[in-house]
Amino acid sequence: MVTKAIVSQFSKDMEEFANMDVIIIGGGPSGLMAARDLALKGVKVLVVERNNYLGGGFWIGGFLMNTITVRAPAQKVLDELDIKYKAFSKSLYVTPGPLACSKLIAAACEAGVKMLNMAQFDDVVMREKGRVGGAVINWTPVSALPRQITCVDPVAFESKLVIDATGHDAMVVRKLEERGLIKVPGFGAMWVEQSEDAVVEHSGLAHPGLIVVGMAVSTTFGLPRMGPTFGAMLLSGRKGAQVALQELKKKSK
Amino acid sequence: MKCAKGAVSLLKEHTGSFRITVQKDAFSGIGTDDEVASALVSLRLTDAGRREERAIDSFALRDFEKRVLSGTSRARGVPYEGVGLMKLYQRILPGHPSNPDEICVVITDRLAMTWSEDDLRYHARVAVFGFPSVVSMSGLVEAPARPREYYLAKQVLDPSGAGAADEVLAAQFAGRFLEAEDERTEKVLCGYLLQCIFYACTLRPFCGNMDCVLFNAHWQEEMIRAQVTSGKLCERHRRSLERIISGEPASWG
Repeated sequence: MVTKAIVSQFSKDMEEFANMDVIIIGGGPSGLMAARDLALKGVKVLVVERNNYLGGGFWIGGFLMNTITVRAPAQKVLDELDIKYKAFSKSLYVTPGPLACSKLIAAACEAGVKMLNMAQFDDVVMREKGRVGGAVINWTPVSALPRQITCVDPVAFESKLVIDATGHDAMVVRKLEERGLIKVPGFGAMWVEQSEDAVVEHSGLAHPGLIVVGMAVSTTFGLPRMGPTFGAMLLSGRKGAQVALQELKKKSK
Repeated sequence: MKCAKGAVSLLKEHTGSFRITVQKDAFSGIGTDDEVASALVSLRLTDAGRREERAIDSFALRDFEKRVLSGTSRARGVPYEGVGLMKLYQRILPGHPSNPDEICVVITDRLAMTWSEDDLRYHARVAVFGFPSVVSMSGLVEAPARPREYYLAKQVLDPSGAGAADEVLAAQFAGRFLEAEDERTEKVLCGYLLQCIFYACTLRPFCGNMDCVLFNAHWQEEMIRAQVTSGKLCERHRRSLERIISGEPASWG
């Protein structure tokens, strides 16, 4: 009976996953934030996370010290998510990683975001004029086993938009680079003091059908590697969601 | 924008009967123009130490420039070749060239940089004078150098340049340099707008008097002294401005 319940529900979920408005690759803070904001607007969103756990580096902060720092004005997002925090200085706030991360995951789930964990991005679905129209996904363990015993073909999920929230790896953007569709400067050092701002402001379209958020923005636009704290990740996710809503609006016309 | 309006209010105290208007959305009409977006991308610098090192033209960067032009993203701190930027504004500014009696100044978040043959690298500038002149809000913070001791302390406290000691340094050197969102910004911006007016009327924007707002500050402390502590034109330039306002031929001396 239990098995039947699992298979029945999961099969319904998979059917739904195959027809989403937005697929977000990467379930870290920027991806979850984008997902939550979009779902609250009634957008059908699927987050694909290669790990068992969602949240990425948001659990543990920097250097394995699980205090999360957030610069103003991102503390307003913490207020919105009902995450308690303390002011460390005039414009810098601190909160425990486990608290912030669990609340963000819960907020995304409660908003209606669908999650597919232990599954990883394999390739992009390309549509007319080189537009990104979905993602090819496989189970994470498949890539971890010897090739001769893992002849498991991936599946394709179509969507109106894909959001790359895979951190510095910028896996979706890199896949387009492999296909010669995009040139990626990689992250660099340009103006460290303003890197948080730069990541948030550059969050947006990287290619027709593809939006970048979080540290993938640094890689895509050649912005500074160092600097961004979690506040910028949350705001970058929010900015990406705003751009996604505009794009979906254009598509619906 | 709020800052520009505040600076213009202060400017009116100097210029009396001058009619000054702030056009918030001057470029919004060309926000969808691919050619303008490409031109802006081609001015984007990626390495201050190499003269022709420019950003690679891409869909992502063009889309970013369109968002900046339409006012949905900000290019705060993003470095551009300053003279090229001024010439581009000359070409795209709606209604320009205008009435010869009008002085046009573009206030931008973009960081304007110009190449120096002295040390073979780009340097950030507050203003690039021309028709129109360009004043960079990022330049107010980044162009004049901070106190020498600041850089020595930063080298010790933050050798990786990751911004880890920003808060400590800001507290240690409080008030000695302008920061983003600094309450003194309006006053400082007003002085640079006066420099643009003098450039437009006499081609000589600077004064050697360190207490005149036309002083060409190379250090933040010099800038704060001229623009905040003094905040006035020297006697010679005050009389010169009176002559300009009354319509007398401009002095070139």
